[in-house]
Order: sequence, then C-alpha cells, then structure tokens
Amino acid sequence: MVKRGEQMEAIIIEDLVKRYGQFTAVDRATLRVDEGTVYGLIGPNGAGKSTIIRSLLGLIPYQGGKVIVSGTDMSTPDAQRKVRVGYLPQKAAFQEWRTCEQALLTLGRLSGLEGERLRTRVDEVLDQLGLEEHRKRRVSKLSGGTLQKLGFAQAMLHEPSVLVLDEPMASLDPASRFMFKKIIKDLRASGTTILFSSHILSDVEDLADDVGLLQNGKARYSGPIDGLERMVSLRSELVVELADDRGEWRSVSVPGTDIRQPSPGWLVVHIDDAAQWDVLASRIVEALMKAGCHIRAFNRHDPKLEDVYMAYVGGAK
Amino acid sequence: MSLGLLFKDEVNGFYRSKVMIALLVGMPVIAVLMYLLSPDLGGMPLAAFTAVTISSMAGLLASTTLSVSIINERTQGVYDLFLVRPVKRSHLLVAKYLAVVACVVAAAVLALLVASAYDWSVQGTVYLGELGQPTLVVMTMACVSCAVAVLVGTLVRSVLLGVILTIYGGNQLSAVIVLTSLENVVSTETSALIGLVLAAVVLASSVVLFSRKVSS
Ligand SMILES: Nc1ncnc2c1ncn2[C@@H]1O[C@H](COP(=O)(O)OP(=O)(O)O)[C@@H](O)[C@H]1O
Ligand SMILES: [Mg+2]
Repeated sequence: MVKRGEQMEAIIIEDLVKRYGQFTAVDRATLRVDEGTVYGLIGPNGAGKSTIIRSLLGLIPYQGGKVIVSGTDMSTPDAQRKVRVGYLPQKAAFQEWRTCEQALLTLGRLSGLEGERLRTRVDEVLDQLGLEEHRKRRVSKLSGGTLQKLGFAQAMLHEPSVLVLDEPMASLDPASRFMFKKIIKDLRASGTTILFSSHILSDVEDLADDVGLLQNGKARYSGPIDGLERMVSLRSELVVELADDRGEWRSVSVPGTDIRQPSPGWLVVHIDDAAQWDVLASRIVEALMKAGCHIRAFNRHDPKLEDVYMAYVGGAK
Repeated sequence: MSLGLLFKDEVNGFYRSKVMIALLVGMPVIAVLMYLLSPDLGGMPLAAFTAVTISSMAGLLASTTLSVSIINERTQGVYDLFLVRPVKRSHLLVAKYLAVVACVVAAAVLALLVASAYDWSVQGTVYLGELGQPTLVVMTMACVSCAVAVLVGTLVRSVLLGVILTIYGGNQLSAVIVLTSLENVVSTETSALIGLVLAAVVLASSVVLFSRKVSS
C-alpha cells in the first residue's frame, strides 16, 4: 500500500453539476482519486455514475464545477494528447464490420502506438483477456461478455496512466469476473490509477482503496472504505443466542441500549454510542445473566459494506 | 494525421458494406438492364445513359447509408472510444464523408468505364468528351447529398427519421442544384461549384454542431 497523504490526486471532481434539460443528473458531486489507487464509485441504477464518468472524460458537457484528470481538464482541446486515459464504457460498441484485431489496431494507432510495439501490445491484451481465439472474428458476431472483454482490451491497450471503467463486471460470468479483478489488481500494482463504477458491493470491497457513494446524483460519502465502516460501527450490534428463552430478558434495561427479539432464542442489542461499547456490552451480558437468561453464545455484529450501502442509499428503493 | 488514418479506415469499412457491392455491381447491371429494356433511347450511347441512372441512384444509396451509419454509431457510443483518444471530433465526420464520397465517385467512374467499353465494342467509338459533364453531375450530387446526410446523422437519433430527412433533404437539394444546369440556367461547372460550396457549408455546420456536443 502506498502511504496516504504523499501522493497527488489523479482525478479531481469538484462540485460537478450536470443537467439533462430540467433534470439534474449530477448535483454538486465532489470526489477525489489519489494517484496509483483504485476508486470504486457505487450507487444504484440511475444514481449518475455513468454521467460523472462521461463528464470526467470530456465526452459530454456539464453545467458547473470542475473535473480534472492528471492536472488537465479533459474537455479542453488537446487534453487527450496530454493525458493518457483508458475508458471502458458501460456498453462498449465497435463498428460492426471490424474484427477484434482490426478494432484494436485502429484504436491503438489512434492512441499513438505503431509498428512492432502496436503488434506486441495487441497480442498481449488479446492474450491477457483470453480473446486469442476471437482475434479474426467480426465484432458483430461476439457475445456480450466477449464484447466487454474487447472493451477492456482497448481500454488498457495503450497502457494509460488513468483507467476509467464503467460497470466493468456487470455482465460477466464468474470466471471472467475473476479475470477482470485480477487484471485490475495487476494494473494497480504497476501504478495505474483506476476509477470504476459498480452496483456490486463485493467488487468494491475486493478491489477499491477508496469508495464514493452516490445517490440521486449526490455524493453521500467519498473516502477510504474503512472510514465508511467506522462511521457505521455507530450501529454495531450485540447478537445474543439464548438456550430455552422464557422471556426473562424483558425485565432487563440498560441505559444507552435497546434490546429486541427478531426471532425466539435470539436477541439483538443496539448500542447507541459505539464509543461506550466496551462498558455497555459486558453490562448487558451481566444483566441478562442476572435476570436468569441462559446465554448460549454472544457475538459482535459489525455491519458489512452492504449494510452501510443500504443505510445510505438503499432505503429509498 | 488522425484524419488520414480515419479516412483509410472508413473506406475500408464502407468498402466492406453491402452498399458498396450494390454500387459496384448493382449500378452497372441496372444501367445495362434498363438500357436494353428501354425501347426508345434515340441511339443514346450506354455510357451517357449510365451516367444518368447513376447520378440518380448513387447519391441516394450512399447518403442514406452515411446518415444511418452515423446515427447508429453515435447512439451506440462507438465514437466514445475514439474521442477519449487524441482524435478531433471534426475528423471523425470529415473522414466518414470523404470516404463515402470517394467510394461513390470510384464506383461511378468504374460504371462509366464499363459502359464506355461496351459502347466501344458495339460502335467502335467512345464519346469520352461527353462523359465529363455527367461525371461532374454525379460528383456534385454525391457531395451535396452526403453533406446533408452528415448533418442529419449528427442531429437525429431515430434511424427512420434520419432516412426520411436524408432522402428528402439531401437528394432533393442536390437534384435542384443539378437541375439548374440541366435546364441550362447555369453551366454544369457553375452548378458544380455551387454544389461544392453548399456541401462545404453544410459539412462545416455539422462539424460545429458535433463539436459542441449538441446531440450526445
Ligand atoms: N442522455 C440523457 N438524457 C436524459 N437523461 C439522462 C441521459 N443520460 C442519463 N440520464 C439520466 O440521468 C440519471 C443518471 O444516469 P446514469 O449516469 O446513467 O446513472 P448510472 O450510471 O448511475 O446508472 C438517470 O436518471 C438517467 O435517466
Ligand atoms: Mg451507468
């Protein structure tokens, strides 16, 4: 892990506003991605992930704020010459008459690769993504997953310093998903900055150093994953399993806690102030035992990213 | 630099499309068939007749293909992969335009050569001098209707609407220009010049609109 605070920001999105007509798709979103890290942008469908990404790359105009990639505003002329970015769209599309190889050759040339170097890189990415057998196939004949791999291949072809992936793993089978994750980890290890969007939380947990949580075009959180989890440990729970539950626990009351019974034999104790955990947890167990409960087991339940996600954005849907 | 690359690429793509087969094979075949089936051509040579048929067909085929392909590629997001690279938005459109016009002109010239060869074998003479004008007419019509096709392609999202606008906008417009010369209002050269200027203006406006990302 690179130490925090020492590196520059590769991507800065500040107070970004994007409207489609009257509709505000991105509402003053602010996100930062440190150089050499992996950033996961999560949020439900329609949250504005693709819109942020497309504004970031200078593909669509936006109404307010600023977006900067490696010190360059991508909507200015010549920005693409100064900063090497790779982009995998949510749905990668190629001209239908091309073969996989032709698509990569053309896009590689446009990225400034040529000659032997171009050939080598095309071979390398075809191999890395397991596309060798499709090399000479027409793009129009490819399945959705294979097309997605070709999309990833063109995104990393020219070894960009910043890689932007829009829901890279959404339509993949488990094996391909594993392959994509491995490549993302390898690219990170070689120093590439990666921003990817997803609505699949396990992907973000596996890959990202930092996360951005997006809902209705607003950035609800942006920062390290563990920071997010710490914020949510406010909601940590003590789960108690009882042997022959006769309701003795009803008489127990400890200030600052709240006992509920989701199903017979199980108690869930909310502790309002996580800082008081060490004091209150043992006090509750003591009180329960004094009241005559037979405790079979007890356990601390820290919410997973999934719970965090539901707490932040899931409630609406 | 990227323009040359894109142009070669687009010629390659258009060349592989079925439209090009229609242009290369279909046009001469149709011209010959119509020539043989028309009873009263007053001894018109095949080459001259071919020129007339082509000028009405080639522009139509090429321009509708052009607008449909731009609409499809734009709405599918094909251009995004180009635009995150050092490629000018204007080059995307101009390369496509030049590629299609070049293909149409090549097909037209080929058809005229074939027809001339036929005339040569039948009559022993070829009226090459008389082919200059029809060729110019074909080129003018192709340039104008393809420019309109590019404009339609950059603005419209529906393929059907795009086709209708291209046919009515592009081909009527190019026909009007060509008519001025056929009716001897102005010379063929003048009408070609008017056509080329008009095509350039339409193309330039498309480029400006596309660069402002009006329709993305
Ligand atoms: N071209 C467009 N025109 C109008 N509305 C759009 C357009 N693209 C996206 N939107 C709207 O903007 C919102 C955000 O979309 P998007 O960025 O695609 O979300 P996500 O990628 O998070 O699923 C959605 O409500 C969507 O309907
Ligand atoms: Mg999206």
